[in-house]
Order: sequence, then C-alpha cells, then structure tokens
Amino acid sequence: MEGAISSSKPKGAIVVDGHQVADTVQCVHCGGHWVPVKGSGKTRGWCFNCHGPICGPGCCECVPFEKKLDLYEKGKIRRL
Amino acid sequence: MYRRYSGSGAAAVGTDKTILNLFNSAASPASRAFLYELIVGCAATPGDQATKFVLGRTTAVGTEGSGYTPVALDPANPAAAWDFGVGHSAEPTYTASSFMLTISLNQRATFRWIAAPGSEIIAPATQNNGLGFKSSSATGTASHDVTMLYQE
Repeated sequence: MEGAISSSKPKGAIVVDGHQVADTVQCVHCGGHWVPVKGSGKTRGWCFNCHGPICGPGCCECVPFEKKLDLYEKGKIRRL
Repeated sequence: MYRRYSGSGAAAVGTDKTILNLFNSAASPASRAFLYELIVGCAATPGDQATKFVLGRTTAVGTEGSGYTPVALDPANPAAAWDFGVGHSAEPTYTASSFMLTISLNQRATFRWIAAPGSEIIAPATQNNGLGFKSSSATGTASHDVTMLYQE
C-alpha cells in the first residue's frame, strides 16, 4: 500500500489478493485500527500513560479502552 | 477460553448500506465479542468500481432481512451467544465518528484484515450493541460478500 509504514509491533495485517500490503496499529483508547501512512495529514498521537498510539484528537483524553468498556457496560458513559 | 465463530453476508454496496452486523440481542449479554478477521470480496462480474467500507460500532440493530446463525469453528462448541444480521431494510444505528476500520477497495480486489492476538476489535456486552460493516460510499452497486470471524 503506497505510503504505508510498517510497524515494529503491528496490531493487525492487511492482505489484498493474497499479498500482505500493510500493517495496522490500534488506538489504546478506542480500539480502532488504521494503517499508518507517512504524510497522510491525519493527526495521530501517543498516550504516555497507556504507552501506545491514539487515533486522533477525539481520543486525547486518557481513558484506557478496557476501562471505557467497563464504564459503558455499566451504563456510566453513553458512548464508546 | 474463547470460542470462535464465523458468519457471512452479502449486499449491494451504495451509500451507507450495511452488509453484515454482529450483535447480541440478550438483555444482559454474558460475553463481549472479539472480531479478529474480516474478509471482503466481490463475486459479481469484474468491474473497476471503488467502494469505501467502514467497520463501526452499532447501538441498535435496525431491521434485518434475515439472520445468519454464527457457525462454530470447533464443532464441539455450543451455539453462539452473538448473532449476525444481514439484508437490512432499516439500517443499524452507528455511533457517530466511531469507525474501527476504514477500507477503500476496488471491486476486483479481495481484502482481508487479521488482528494480532490481543488486538481484536471488541464489541461490548450490551444489548443490541455490536460491530456493523457497511459501504459508506461506492461508485458502483455490485454485491459484495463479507465474512467475519470472531470469538466470544
């Protein structure tokens, strides 16, 4: 995949027509996956508390995903 | 120990057309679902059309045309607690700005995403919550097939 950066600790792999074309990384706050692309213009980040990447400004606040799941399942937050 | 199941569905692509929705209809689900593999392809006449697919969190199941009972990968396993919805006449409700995976795909290509162990996309144990896979935009209308493999 053009521009895709391979990750030292990939959280997923993308295979197209039998060929692995990219790795994915996972947001430590929402669990979403994306392909890191150099020069994409998308704002990503890093959580020093969780020690992992975050997908964007929407996940800036540090609430570890496992904690977020527990709160959501108990009805204490309305969305993941 | 988690049990593994698979399910599949097919639907024509377009604007916000769900192909497959993994959900749990129980009032108090006992388990979360961990999606670890997703396969997308098209068996229609090959064409150079492009579709943008997204995997998003769903909070309501909409109206499905038919269900797809998850198939246990180990025949010794019991029936799945989670379920699949296909052929929706009313779309599931997606959480805004909550797409777990975004895929842009040519109709001629087959796409497969595999999670590393421990990095699965997780659906919460909440009634009617789940993971829906839909086309958000498309240049064509060919029917695409989706297979999800998950563990619960």
